[in-house]
Amino acid sequence: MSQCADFKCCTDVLERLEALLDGDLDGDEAAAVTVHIDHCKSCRTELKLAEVVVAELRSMPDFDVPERVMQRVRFKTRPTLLERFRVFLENFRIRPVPAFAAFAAVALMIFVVSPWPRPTEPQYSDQEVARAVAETRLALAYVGRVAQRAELRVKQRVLDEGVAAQTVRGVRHSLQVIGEAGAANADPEATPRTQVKGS
Amino acid sequence: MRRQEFDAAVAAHGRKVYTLAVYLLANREEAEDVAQEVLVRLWRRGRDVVPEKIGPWLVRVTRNACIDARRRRKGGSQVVIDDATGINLHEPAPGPERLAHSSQLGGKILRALETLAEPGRSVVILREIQGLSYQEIGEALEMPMSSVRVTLHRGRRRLRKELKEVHDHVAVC
Repeated sequence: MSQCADFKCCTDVLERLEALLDGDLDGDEAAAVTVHIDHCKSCRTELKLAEVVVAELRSMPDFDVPERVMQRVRFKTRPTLLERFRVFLENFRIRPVPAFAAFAAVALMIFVVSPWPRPTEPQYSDQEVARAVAETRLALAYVGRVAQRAELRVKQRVLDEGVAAQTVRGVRHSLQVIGEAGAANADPEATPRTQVKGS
Repeated sequence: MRRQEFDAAVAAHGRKVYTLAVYLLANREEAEDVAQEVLVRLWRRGRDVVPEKIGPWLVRVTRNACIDARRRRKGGSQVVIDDATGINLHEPAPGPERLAHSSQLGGKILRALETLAEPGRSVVILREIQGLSYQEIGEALEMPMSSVRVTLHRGRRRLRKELKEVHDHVAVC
């Protein structure tokens, strides 16, 4: 600055050094400042220092976000159940046509490949009907034969073991008892008992 | 904000957010907390931000968070930058790239940055270290471009004055 005759001039130049470095001065002003700097050792020193500062600042590094920070961010921004549901609703609202088409496709698929049997009217051929009739007749005939055999066996047992005679005797005895009782009721001698009972 | 949009925004701007926080706070531990806070805020409120404006929005939010963090320090955690290495002595792990880059002058500049007032410090960092344009800085800090330019030049001039005493060895033609 000692070499600069005009102190105010140096002050003006020093205030414009940054603009000169950034190319923000217009042509005449930049030329005047440059001429001054060429003749002023102090201002040249200041310009050099300004260049060093800018170079040093521009060479300073950037820093990647540490992974531990990203892990914490991912943890704090994990979607909750409510947010997932909200996103689902938003998707449905934003793209209703694809969502409805997907829903319809799923419904159709469930209807076509249904696991539950649906009631249908059976359709049989004449041949199947005739076969069923024949099998039914055969089954009925078999049942009739079995019934006949059972009847014969019962008859045989009744006759062999005298079950009928015993039954007949029992029935006769019962009828006799009933007859005697009826006769006794009709006998006049027996009326006092009734009368006594009635009096 | 959808997950894909968030991941894309973090990939595009996460590095800028963390770097700005590191230089504004000169403390990695606090910068990590601020970066986490800003990215979580992006996830929660990102849907209110126009996609093209996410970059300036993140710069603004990061700067405000850093200012709040500096306020919370209240002298309890002073930043101490070593003159020889330019490393914050409170950092748990400076990192090899930082150690390799650090020089005496770099340390002085970081120390001088600490003395700059806002918004000068933010403008110098955004422009000279992070390479943002005047327009981007203006959008982020909500300042006209002319103010950005004046603030930047004033900040660099202040840095130059701070460094003048330790830079007597610069050769003069």
